[in-house]
Amino acid sequence: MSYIWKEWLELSRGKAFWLFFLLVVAASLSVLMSAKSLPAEHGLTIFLQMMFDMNAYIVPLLCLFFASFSVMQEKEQRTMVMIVAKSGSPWQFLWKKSAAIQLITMMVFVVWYFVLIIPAKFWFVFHLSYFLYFLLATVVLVFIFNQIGIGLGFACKTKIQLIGANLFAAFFFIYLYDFVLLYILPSVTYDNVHVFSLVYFLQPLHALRFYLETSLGMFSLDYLSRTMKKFFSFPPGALVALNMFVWGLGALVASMVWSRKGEER
Amino acid sequence: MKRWLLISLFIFFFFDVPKEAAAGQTLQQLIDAAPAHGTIRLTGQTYSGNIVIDKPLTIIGAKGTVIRGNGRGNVISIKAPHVVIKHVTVTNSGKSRSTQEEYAGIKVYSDYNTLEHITVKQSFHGIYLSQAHHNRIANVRVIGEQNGEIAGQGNGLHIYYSNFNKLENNTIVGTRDGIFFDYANHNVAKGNKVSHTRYGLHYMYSDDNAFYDNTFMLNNGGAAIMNSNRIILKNNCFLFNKGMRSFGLLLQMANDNRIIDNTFYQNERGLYVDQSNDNFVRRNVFLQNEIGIELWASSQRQTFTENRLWKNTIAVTRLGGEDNNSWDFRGVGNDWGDEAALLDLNEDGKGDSPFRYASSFHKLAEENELAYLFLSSPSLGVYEAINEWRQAGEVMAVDHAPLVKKSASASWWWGLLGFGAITVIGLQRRGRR
Repeated sequence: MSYIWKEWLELSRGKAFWLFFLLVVAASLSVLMSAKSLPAEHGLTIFLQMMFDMNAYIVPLLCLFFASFSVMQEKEQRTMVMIVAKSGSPWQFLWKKSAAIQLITMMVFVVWYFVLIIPAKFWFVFHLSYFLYFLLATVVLVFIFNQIGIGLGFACKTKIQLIGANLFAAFFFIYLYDFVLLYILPSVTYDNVHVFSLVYFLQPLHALRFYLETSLGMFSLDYLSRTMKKFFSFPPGALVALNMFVWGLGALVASMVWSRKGEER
Repeated sequence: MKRWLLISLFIFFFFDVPKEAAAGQTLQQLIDAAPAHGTIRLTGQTYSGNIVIDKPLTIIGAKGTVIRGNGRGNVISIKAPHVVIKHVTVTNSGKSRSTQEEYAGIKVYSDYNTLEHITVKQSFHGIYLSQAHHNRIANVRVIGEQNGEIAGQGNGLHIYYSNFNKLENNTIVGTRDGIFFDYANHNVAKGNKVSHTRYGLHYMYSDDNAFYDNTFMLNNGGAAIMNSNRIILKNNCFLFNKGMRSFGLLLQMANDNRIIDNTFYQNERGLYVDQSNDNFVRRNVFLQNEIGIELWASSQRQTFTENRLWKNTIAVTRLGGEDNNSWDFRGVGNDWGDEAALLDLNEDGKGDSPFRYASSFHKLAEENELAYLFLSSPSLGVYEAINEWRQAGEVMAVDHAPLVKKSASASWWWGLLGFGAITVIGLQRRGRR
């Protein structure tokens, strides 16, 4: 609990997070205003999808920077050494730090979206399940990129390194991953499309968009070709879980390794 | 005087007397008992179908009036002309697929009928016009099962061998096709709203129809015009029709159609043209679609003029080889948005040089259909830019008189930048204090 409180104080006193979050607020409001003119019956679906598309660009950057700098601050101010000495193991520190960062950032996003949905509830026909699907997709997005950010925070030695690593990570997920897939696309056939599907959906932004759009009934999986049918044969929920496992757990293990290396030094 | 009074009383009692549903009488008995051209006013209760109307008649429901079929056959069959039905809910038609006939909530076999303010639920087809002409269907709401199986349910409005009908302000949700025209000519569809269907509107072998002010949203395909010619599409909105095979409007083996003043927004493909010739596409807005216009080389001699192609991931893609389409008409081309970066030094509203839209996406799409997966990825923009720089892209469209307009979005961005700057300055000042 003390970790969460400490994290909250650090976050609420720092300007960077709020400034960045102000961008999320401004962008969300602009999306809401542009969606206002949509027909009430379908407005909520489209509004939530537009919100997710916006989040897909902003949330990775925000979470990477916030989580990684939070760890870097502990390292620079030497509070990490003190906490590790007090609590006994770097693993415990990592676990508690991750839990605190995750809880606070998720809470900030969830509270804001509950506020944002109030006017949307009056303008559109409201489906609670749709809103919950959106919240789940956003929370998973926050979780994955926070965890990667924490990993980078442990891996980097200086702030400059960390900025570079964060930008690379964002660039990797938003541009590079798909760019590589585009070049291997000609070699994909019906026989290996399952493997390609797994690799494609191992990009959290793809898996979460697929999950959200199918849950909202926006993305039609009817009348597909044989290859496409095979490509989309994995359940969206399972793909999201796979991403959480691979990126979340992967980043956690990497953080563990890097924190031990730091300790050895 | 006495004679006139007697005649008036005769007309009053025998021709236009509203009849309440008497207790114990079925709706069919009421219909059978009513005189031709009479009016039956129903109360807010559930009446048992199925019923057959074989004389000119007006049936007006009240709030809560439901006509419920027995689950076999059509709930209401209209076999006489000049029937008017208003303010009723019709449910539970036959849904069997092993019978010779496809059933509907209301099946019309005659001409000059009016169906207004009707809701059709739990039925195979909503309203079926079978060789029925000059009918008016307005403010009808058809709610389908939305079960995704093509043959699992029928269409919202099914127009079969029927001409000169008017379909106005209807709402259709979750059926197979929203409105299906099969060998039906000279019909007008106006102000209809269709969502969550396979094709919002589907023309097969239906010519000379008009199609105004309709909205197609969240369908697998907005409207599919197949094997049909000389259709006018004006002021329609094709929005958010997403999915790997989705489109706003499909022209397949459809010739000489006029597509004017429509909006295509956030569709997988805005306009999809295959094996279709001589179509005229004017003053439409293609905004933020994954592909603005997809043209197969089997399609020839389309004319595109005064269209606005803005912020589509791929504005135009041409598949299957060379084509023969015109991107300007009588010296007026299209507005290609900011990405065109055109000069207009003489300020005549047209670019000083022809605009060549180049793209390399078609190569990816021709090699592997999975390329469509990347349409929403920013990487595709980078891929396109790299290929443009390498001059590996192919010219998809040549507009000899591209239109140049100032973008309104620029001022919006300046506003946002200004807001950001003010916020940062404000925060800095607070920090100093």
